[in-house]
Amino acid sequence: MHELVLRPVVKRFRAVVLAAGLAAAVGGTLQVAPAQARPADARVPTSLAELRDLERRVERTVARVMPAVVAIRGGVGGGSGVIITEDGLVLTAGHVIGAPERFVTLTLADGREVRGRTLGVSRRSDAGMVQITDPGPFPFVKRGTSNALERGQWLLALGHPGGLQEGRPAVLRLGRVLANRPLGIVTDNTLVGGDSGGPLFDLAGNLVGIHSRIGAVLVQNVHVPIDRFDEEWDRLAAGEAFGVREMARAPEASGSYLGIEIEQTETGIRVAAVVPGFAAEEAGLQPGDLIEAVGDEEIGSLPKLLAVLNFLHKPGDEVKLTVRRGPGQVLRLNATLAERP
Amino acid sequence: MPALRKSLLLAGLAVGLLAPGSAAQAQLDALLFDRDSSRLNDVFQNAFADAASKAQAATAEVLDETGDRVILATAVSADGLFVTKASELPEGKLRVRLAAGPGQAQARVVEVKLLGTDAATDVALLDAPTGTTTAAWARTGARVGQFVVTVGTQEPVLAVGVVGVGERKVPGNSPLLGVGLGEALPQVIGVPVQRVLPDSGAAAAGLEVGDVIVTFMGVPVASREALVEAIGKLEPDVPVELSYRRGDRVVEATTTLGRRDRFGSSRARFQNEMGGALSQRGGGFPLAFQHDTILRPVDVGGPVVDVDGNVLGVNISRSGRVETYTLPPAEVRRVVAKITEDVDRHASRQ
Repeated sequence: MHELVLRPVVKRFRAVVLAAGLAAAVGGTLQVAPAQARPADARVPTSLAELRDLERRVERTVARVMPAVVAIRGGVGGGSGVIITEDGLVLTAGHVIGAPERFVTLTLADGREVRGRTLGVSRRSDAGMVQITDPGPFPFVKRGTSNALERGQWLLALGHPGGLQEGRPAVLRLGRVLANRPLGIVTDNTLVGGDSGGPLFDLAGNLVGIHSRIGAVLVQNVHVPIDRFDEEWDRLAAGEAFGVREMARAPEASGSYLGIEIEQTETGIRVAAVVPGFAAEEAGLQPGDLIEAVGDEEIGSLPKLLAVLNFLHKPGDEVKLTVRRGPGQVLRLNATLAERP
Repeated sequence: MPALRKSLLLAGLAVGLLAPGSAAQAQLDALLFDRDSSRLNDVFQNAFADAASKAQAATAEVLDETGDRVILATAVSADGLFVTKASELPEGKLRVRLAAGPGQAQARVVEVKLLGTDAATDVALLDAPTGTTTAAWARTGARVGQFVVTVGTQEPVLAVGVVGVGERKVPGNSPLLGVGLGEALPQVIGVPVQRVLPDSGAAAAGLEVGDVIVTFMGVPVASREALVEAIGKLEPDVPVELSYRRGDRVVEATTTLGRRDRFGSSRARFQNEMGGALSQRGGGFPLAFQHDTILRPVDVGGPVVDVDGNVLGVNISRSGRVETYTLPPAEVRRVVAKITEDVDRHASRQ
């Protein structure tokens, strides 16, 4: 069990937490700047000036989005969420609310408690929606898009780790995109139970994801991409519960097939045999070749080769193989992946 | 063909590792993890080297008998006073390794005296028989989103994070007996036990489901609320006495209260420990700010600086997957003054 759904603290053994006088008192509607995430948002600052620039952007953005971050109780325990419309539509994780038509209590950043009703739940993506039923207006944030998130891009995570704590506003974590896959954005914005449903923002303050689950190490924090909400929007807004729990399973292996038999040796990943009639033969791979990279991914182990072929590529993709043949000879071969027979 | 069959088998196993369920995604992430794309990126961390090096000479390591670091310490005066985390200090003689100063090839190891500790903040004050370099302390409090750099002795940058929550009172661990309780029966003293947490104080006392707790600390237990309140008034780790009825027997037992964050929700504890060991004492600080720096418990006790190298405070605990706590400068000064006053008062009495 490496991957856990980010359940909040177990209710039975948890003291009742009273929300009182949170520090960030903000009224009215949140101003959302039209700023776009800049291409430089994946860059690593190297000078003091650049560090200061990144720091200033993070500080500004967190101050701006903080009023829209909420804690949610009810449903199946509790978690976090974020308001995205003036009249109080809230995005959260599906597993935080459990099912449609439930009554929940939301604690706003200014400490106010409001009532809400759960709308839809996607068991497929772990997307969830709540409507605040008390009258607004509420501070809200702007939705961005997640498909263009680049590896290395800086992101801000907010939420209530461990559940709402008296006197503690939502907690900021800074991190970067490690992988952007349709079923989950993986970051090193560290999360823990209670953060579930909380928002992930780009540096410009656009909402790009919702916290969903964590893995065993600190670099495995997975967020529902905001684009998945867009795809499932109508059903979520209509209060449907749908989908099977895809997120807890492996993403389906694509079944890409190179047409080689491989073995892990001390010198590397070695081609043991080439299956006639498939990509490897066409590309010119030979028994004894050592596969060093597929595309930009270095191949250090057999599981990694299979992971890259199955999860980063699909049948029909053309991939560049970096192959070592004999001493000093490195070849770059193009192969078109087939479907595993 | 045996070689071919073996390789097929290997391939099959590897696919098996990736395919069947929840471990697969994590496995994949671990395989594809690219340090350069993460916030652990070396170039990024090194960008803070100038800032961190300003406080490096004010950082020291507290050593165990074998010379390994147990915790870091921060110089707070030019005449050799250091603060560190009290609950991580070893028994017996204390030695610290001072950071190598300019022109010094070797770091010096000196014996230090423990002047005193402050229970509320978990700060210990050490006295080294040598002059030390102190760092410049920040004049303004830590701001949410600000970079914080934990300074090391061997290399200037130990780790980098951002402030996640500004200064506040950090709640302590609430005490926990480890029982789920039913309602007291009318006309009968005592509260029935409906659940016993494994490894809890309740389990150690021998409590079982169906037992009825009749007294706690010598006082008859009238209701569930009364027992919860009585437990809540105590501190974790204190010994408690209770008695319970099992059938027609009454058993007296002594046990120790646990900590809610450790035992109360094993899932929360488990999640928090995923990703690294935690400090022994992780909460209950009168004033601290929180950041997301990934530290080991032995990396606590040293200074954290801002991008300019000014000391924002002293790390006091690694408390969870997402939480590291730092005492701000004013709090460090207050505690140092308090401990030195206690020492002076003690000395004047002698």
